[in-house]
Amino acid sequence: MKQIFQGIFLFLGFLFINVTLHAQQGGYISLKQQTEILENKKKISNEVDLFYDNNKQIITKYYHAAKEFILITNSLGEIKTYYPASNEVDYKQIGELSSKRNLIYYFANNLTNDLGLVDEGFNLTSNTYENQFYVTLWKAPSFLTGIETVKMVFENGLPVYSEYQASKKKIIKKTYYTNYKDFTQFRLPLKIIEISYLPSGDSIINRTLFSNIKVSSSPDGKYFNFKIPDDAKPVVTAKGK
Amino acid sequence: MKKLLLVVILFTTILSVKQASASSYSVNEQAIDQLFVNAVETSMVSANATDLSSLATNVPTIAMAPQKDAVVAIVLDFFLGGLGIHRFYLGTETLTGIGYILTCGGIFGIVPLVDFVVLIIDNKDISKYVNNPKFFMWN
Repeated sequence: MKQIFQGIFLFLGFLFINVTLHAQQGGYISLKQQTEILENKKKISNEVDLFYDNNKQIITKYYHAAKEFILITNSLGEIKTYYPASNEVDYKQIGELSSKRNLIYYFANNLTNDLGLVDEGFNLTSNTYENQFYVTLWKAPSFLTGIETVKMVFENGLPVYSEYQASKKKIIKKTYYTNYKDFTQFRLPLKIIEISYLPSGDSIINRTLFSNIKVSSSPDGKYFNFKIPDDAKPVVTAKGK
Repeated sequence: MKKLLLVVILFTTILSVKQASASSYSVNEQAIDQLFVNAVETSMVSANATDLSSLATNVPTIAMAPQKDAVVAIVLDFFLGGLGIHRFYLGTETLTGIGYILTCGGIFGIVPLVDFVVLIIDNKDISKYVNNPKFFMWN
C-alpha cells in the first residue's frame, strides 16, 4: 500500500514538474508586428498578427493586407497560404523559409549568439570588448558575393546592433535592436530599426515594432492550430501552375 | 613632461575614438520617430511595379510589367530588395517573394544583396531570372 502511495506521489511530482516547466517555456507566443518603411519622405506600413507555437515550431501569420491571407510555416519550410476571401490555398516547400530561420525563433529559444549567421555559413573571426559592448565580427561565406563581414554587437548578452559591410569602409546596412522586454524564458526587442544605405547616398529605414505580446503555455489565440478548411481550393495562377 | 603630455593626449584620443565607436551602436530613436511622423503615408497596393514609392509590401501578387528591364529590376532590388519586390517584378512564385519578408528581408538582406550583384553582372541577359520560382534565383 505504501508503495502504491509512493508511486502516486512520484507520478504527481513528475506531472507537476513537467507542467511547471512547460508553462515556463512559453510554448505559445502571439504578437502584433507592425512594419514601416520610409524612403524619400514617403512611408508604407503593414500589420501582421503573428502566432508562434514554440513546441511544434509553427509560425502562423495573419496579414492585414489589401488581400488578406494567412500564412503557416513549419520547421521544414512547408508553407501553406490560405486566402479566406476566395477560400483558396497554396502549398509550398521552401527550406530557406523554415520557421527556424525566423527572428522570433532565435529570440524565443535564446539563440541570440549569432541570430542565424552560423547557419548561413558565417564564421566568427574576432571578438572584443568596447566599453560595455561585446563586439563580434563574422566573415561571410565565399558564395555570398558583395558582402564581406557582419559586425554583431551585444550588450548584457543581447544583440543590440548588427552591421553588414561590403568592405571595411562601406557599410550596406545597420540594424538596431532596442527596447528589450523580459519574459520568463527569453527577451525580445520590441523595436528593430534597419537602415539600408544606397549608393546614391540616400537610405531606406525599416522599422519593426512588436506589441501586444502574449506568452502562454496553452494556445490562447485565434490562429494557433489554425486549420485550413477541407473544401479550400488550390490557388490557380495566371500561368496555370 | 613633454612625453607625459603626449601620452595623456594619445590616451585621450584612443578613449574618445572608442567612445565614438561605442555610441554608434545605438540609434537616435527620436530622430527616427520624427522622420516617420513627417513622412507621407502611401498606398500599400500598387498596380505599377515601377512606381517605387507606392509598391506593395506584403501583398501576395503584384501586377507584372510585360517587359522585364534589368535596370528596373536592379533599382527595385536596391530600394525594396528586402521585400522581394524585384522578384515580383521579374516574376516568381508568390511565396518566393513573401519568403524575403519571412526571412527578415531575405535572410537578413543577404539574398537581395546577391540578387543585386548577379543582376548587375548579367544585366544584358536576365532571362534566367525572369519567372524563376527558386528562392535563390541565381542557384
